[in-house]
Amino acid sequence: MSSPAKAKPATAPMVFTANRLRDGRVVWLAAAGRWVEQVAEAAVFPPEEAAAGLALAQQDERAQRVVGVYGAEVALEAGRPVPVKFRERLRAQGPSVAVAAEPREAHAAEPREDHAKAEPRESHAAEPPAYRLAS
Amino acid sequence: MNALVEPIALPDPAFPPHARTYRYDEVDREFLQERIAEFSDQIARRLGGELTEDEFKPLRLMNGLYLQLHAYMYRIAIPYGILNATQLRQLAMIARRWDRGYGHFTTRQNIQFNWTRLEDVPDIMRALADVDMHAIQTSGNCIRNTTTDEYAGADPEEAADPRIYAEIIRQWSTLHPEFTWLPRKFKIAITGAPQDRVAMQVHDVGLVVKRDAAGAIGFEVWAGGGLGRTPVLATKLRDWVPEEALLAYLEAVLRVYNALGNRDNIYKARIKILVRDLGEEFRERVEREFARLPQPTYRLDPEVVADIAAHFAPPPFARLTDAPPAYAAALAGDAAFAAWAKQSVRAHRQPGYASVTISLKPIGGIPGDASAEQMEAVAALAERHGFGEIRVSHVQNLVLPHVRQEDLPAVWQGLREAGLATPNIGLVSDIIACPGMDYCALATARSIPVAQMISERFADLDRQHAIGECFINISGCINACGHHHIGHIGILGVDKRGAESYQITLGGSATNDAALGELVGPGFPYDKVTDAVETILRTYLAERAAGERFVDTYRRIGLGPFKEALYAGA
Amino acid sequence: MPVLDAKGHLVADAWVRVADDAPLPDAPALLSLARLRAEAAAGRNAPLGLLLDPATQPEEIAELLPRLALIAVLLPKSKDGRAFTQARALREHFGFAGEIRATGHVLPDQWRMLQRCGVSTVELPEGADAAQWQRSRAVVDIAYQPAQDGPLPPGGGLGLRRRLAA
Repeated sequence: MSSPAKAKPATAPMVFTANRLRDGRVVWLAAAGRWVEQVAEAAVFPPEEAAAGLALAQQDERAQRVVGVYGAEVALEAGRPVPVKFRERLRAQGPSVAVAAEPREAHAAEPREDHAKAEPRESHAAEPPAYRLAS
Repeated sequence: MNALVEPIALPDPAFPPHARTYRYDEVDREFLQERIAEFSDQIARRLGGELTEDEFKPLRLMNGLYLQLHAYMYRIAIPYGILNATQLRQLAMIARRWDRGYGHFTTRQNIQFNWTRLEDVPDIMRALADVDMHAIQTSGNCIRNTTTDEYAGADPEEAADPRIYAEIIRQWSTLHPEFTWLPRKFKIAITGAPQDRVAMQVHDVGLVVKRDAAGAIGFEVWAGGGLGRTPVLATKLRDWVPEEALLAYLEAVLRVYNALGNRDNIYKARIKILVRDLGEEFRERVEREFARLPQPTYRLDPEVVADIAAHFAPPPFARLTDAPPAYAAALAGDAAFAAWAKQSVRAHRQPGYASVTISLKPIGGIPGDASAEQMEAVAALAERHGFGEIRVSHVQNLVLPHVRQEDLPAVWQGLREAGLATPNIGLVSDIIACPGMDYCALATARSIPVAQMISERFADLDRQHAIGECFINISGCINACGHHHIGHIGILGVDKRGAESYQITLGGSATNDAALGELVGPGFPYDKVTDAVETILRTYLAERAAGERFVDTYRRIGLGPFKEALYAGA
Repeated sequence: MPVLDAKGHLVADAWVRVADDAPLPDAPALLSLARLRAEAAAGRNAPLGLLLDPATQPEEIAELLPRLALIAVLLPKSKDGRAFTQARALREHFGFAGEIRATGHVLPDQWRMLQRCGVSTVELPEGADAAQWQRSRAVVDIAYQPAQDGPLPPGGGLGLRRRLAA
């Protein structure tokens, strides 16, 4: 399971994340108890409502729809939540290294392929190919 | 609930005839089908809500399925790192069909896929079983994949063949009724060569198979080594356990561990802590258990050994001589080929043959990753030039163990076309790196991009050759999957007040001169760690005496000059 | 609580767990180690059983074994496997021939392995699905190592492997 250390009482706005049981994909709790794949669409809970948000998310863990619910602090950028911690930004955006896209033919419903390269690498202007030829 | 699948007799897969993997018979295949039925049933119970995650987690783990940062991760067993071309092609097919077109070879000589869906796992298991493969015990608190020397059966100096005993241990440990719910994971490594290439001394149990003066087989047994947050080198328990007592002795070690290992604190649960805490009493308890268990029950029958040894008979080598003209001409006429051969081609016990190490460390690439196309290219080269057999090394490269020397130019061409001919084996860009925070739920910092930055900084191969042998190992957290403690240069990524920070250790080694690295000083931020590595290597080049490797110079001059260079003026 | 017998049938539990300060009933009684040690052996006909703590090594109770008809081993959590080694040691080193009962958080998926270590019965929660336990036990019937299996069905030439009894 991917939840980090035990949650402390929230002091910042929170979103709630988990992995979807059937395929393990990262999901975020959104309005009306839905789970969405984009953190930008996640429901943001002010600190005083974080406990209620966690309880709501955990209902679906008990119902065996998602696994490993935990809360992540966010900042609002242009009205959209962005995780504060680097780990949670990686979780939201996908690996910072080059990854091939999800194969469309196998799983056409998967919309995550645009996010594989979202995190810029600090020391290089351009992403190197994943499998650069050696010579 | 899925109905349980009835075991069925399956035809032999179309394997290359001379690849020396253990060949399943109908009993092994029936077992595998039973195990698939069992885990498919467990998955169905999980998806149906009958099993909670707490109940399911140990079951999925012992079937190789993790839940990582972005998805489930599926780790597939490559027993002692040996597979054949048909199996490698099937892994490529799985990568394409159910994952994202690549796989990651691990330091336990396994392969893992990063984007597995739970609901696909029964199909993937069946595809694996089609080529006699599985994911049993690649995780969980059980006996994991036993690792061995990637040059087994080819090394000119090997005293005895470790593959036979690795296979025996694989069978004995498979769904072992007593040792499937251990305090923590349990890793065994076995070598039969005088040069340790399996990091024997950092394993829960390390075995050296050897021969006595009369030629009889026995084992040197070490226990209690390990990395993680408390790195420890193993203690030698016995100089000699006779072949027929191997399983009895392993039973005794595991029983003492299962009864007395720490169950309260996951960080104190490995056998290394028990061995350290009990000291000499650990050995006494093992010996007492060994003396009282019914030896005939656990005796390793020489006929069983002979049957399994037959699976690893030498392939039909041709009668050849070393240094054939075609090879000598290519060495003399093509500097690029010669540079590759210098790093990647290794002497073989059979005249006219060589072992080829295939670098999975292209400059700027992800250490240990291979695309489906690359897997297929290696499979084809193995079939054409290497009896269809492939090995995975614990430093995350591949090996063709038996290649005709006259074929080496063609193998090199084929590898070049697949982007697999980087001539950097044993050099600073041949880096071990764990998946780190890019994939792993436990990581506290990234590893892969650090490996990529270092690799690119030293992209100039002349510079790498000038530096010579130097192993850089990178872990993204204290659990040390990237073996940083035993790197000549070890890098550990930690979280320092919300930012990635990298601690550097020097002087580690996993071979016969096994040693744990020493911390050089305060950590470096992500964008300074490559500079720090460069400073360390410049210091070495300035200080080294003739013929010294990095680690030799370090041992002679100690941390001081490196510390001075890294932190002076800081 | 019901008890799963060796064939996978749920049967009523004839044993009574006796607290350390409660009087000893004239029925099969399961006691802690401290209570058992304090209890005189003489003048009792009903069988005695021991609740064996996972941390207690079987050699520590060797002298008590002749008095015992049942030993209850405990899995405090399903992943705590000390009971497997205790059961195997009781059978193999001490020849204990009475009932060994697995208690605590036991999964159906562990039952075959417990049996192979010498466990006879499993204490289950009320309402447990015996059919699931039977399925889980039956699904893998090939093993790769010796254990407390009793006489094995015929099948020579299998190397380390063996077929387990139904």
